[in-house]
Amino acid sequence: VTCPDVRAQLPALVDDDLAPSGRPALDAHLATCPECRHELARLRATVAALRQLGPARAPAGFVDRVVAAAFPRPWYRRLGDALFVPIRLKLPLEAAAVLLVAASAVYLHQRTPEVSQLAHGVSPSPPDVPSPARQTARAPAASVGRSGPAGADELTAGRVAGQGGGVAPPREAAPPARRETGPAREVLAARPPGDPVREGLPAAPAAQVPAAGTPGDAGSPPPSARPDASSPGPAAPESQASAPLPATAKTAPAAARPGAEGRAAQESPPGPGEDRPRTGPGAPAASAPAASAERAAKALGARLSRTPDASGRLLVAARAPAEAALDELLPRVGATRLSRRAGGAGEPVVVELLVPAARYGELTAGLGRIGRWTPAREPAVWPADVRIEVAITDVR
Amino acid sequence: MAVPVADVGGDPPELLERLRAGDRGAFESFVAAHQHRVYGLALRMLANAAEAQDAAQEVFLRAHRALGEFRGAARLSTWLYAITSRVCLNRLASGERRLERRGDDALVRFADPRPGPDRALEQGELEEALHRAIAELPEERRIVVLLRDVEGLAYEEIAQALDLPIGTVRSRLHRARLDLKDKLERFFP
Repeated sequence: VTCPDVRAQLPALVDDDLAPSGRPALDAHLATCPECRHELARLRATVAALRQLGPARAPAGFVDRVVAAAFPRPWYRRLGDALFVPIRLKLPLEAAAVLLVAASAVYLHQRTPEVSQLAHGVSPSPPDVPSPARQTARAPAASVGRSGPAGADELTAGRVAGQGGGVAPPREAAPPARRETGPAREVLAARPPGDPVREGLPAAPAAQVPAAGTPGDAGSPPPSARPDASSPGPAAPESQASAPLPATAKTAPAAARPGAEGRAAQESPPGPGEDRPRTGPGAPAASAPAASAERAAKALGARLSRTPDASGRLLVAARAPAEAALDELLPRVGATRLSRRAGGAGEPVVVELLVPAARYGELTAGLGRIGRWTPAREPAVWPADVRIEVAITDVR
Repeated sequence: MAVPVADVGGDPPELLERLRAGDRGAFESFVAAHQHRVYGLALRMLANAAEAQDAAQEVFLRAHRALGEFRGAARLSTWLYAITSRVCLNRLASGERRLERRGDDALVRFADPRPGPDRALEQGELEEALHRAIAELPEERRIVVLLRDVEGLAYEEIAQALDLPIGTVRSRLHRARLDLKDKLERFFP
């Protein structure tokens, strides 16, 4: 047995992992070889040092991390933790964020007309009661001008009537006149199904009456045309539709101040029997219901319009016979009396008439036969139905 | 609920059943009982505390996934050593890890629980030299000497854990011991 042979077996000797047969020869060599004994001692010291190595300790929290990784929390619990933990901090922050968003939405809705209009147009529910400020803001738009795009005005009228919900005068005046034709119906039919304007049409007689009154005038603006489609406020048109006719007549001269006019019309209480146009005592009682409805529609359209198209003075010998003659004349020329305003002593009686433009000449000729007709103003552009204000003055 | 884990003379059948059933409390006890051994072996194999922690966590997560298939042929600790050895050797075998090891001669100082400043000073230098010597061993010898002389596994257990013939285990162990003896010559003249 040589030293290299012995030294190769020393590691096994440390563990006493030698075959019993080789052990005596190894022990005999070690007993006589101090160098090999020294090597064995060094090897045993090395192994002892290895076995005495201090135990490494896993870092604190290692078990929790491993267990958490092995058993992950369900997603909804993790989501809940992310949203609400710590709840004392996150819940108030989230509540504040919701309030901020809500306040911003309300602010945007109130301060942005487009958003407000869109909201009203989309929502089928009637709008809230307008504030006085909004009435004031919308009144001028409601009463400015008479000519304009027919479709937009009729749509607006339809929407107003639909929102007004049960505006009595037009419904009572013109149920037979509900037709499925006319400019307004055509324009509304072009809207997509489900559109609130279209959906509201059957319940909106006021929208149909002006259209029905001019069935052959597709494309021409009806007297009720409200040209400013960009300001579809319900307040002013609604007040017009429900306001009594005298109020309209009374405010007619004040057409130059549309804002004040709108307010005046709204503040006027509806009087009994004044919610439909007067046809006068001489109106033909035998006229067909459709014709009556058409006339009513014209009257409504005229009422929705503020400023007379034409005016003039009729100088007569006596006012009472002249008014009787006028009442006889009106049905012959297809005209309608809209209102009558009796002046005081020495003041003229102001009668407001509505006549188709084509028969305006016949009307003025008839007026010339009753007395001396002096036209004061005539329109530059003739509407389909002309509204005339006749001041009947006696010579005395 | 924590369950005491006995590591001597086999694992309690009740614990094995609960671990196989995915019992959280049993797994927590299992990790708590073996964490230092697994982490220590990983630390001495990888010589990097952060990587050793990652490796130890990976070992327990692998064990958690494989506990359903553990039939009890070996002790749980031996089974864990086997997983630890594979995880560490895989990490050491990765090219990225090999590049990082170049020039990384920072040896981890192991906590020495033995009291006494003189003893600490005396042993500190030897331990540092020993750790350095271990880290310089070839990986296949390092894992064997660690399992045998540090962790105290029997040759058969090492062969089972590393899936090696027992003769290979012996030869690698003997070579490792002789290497270490030579490297620590100045401490044991």
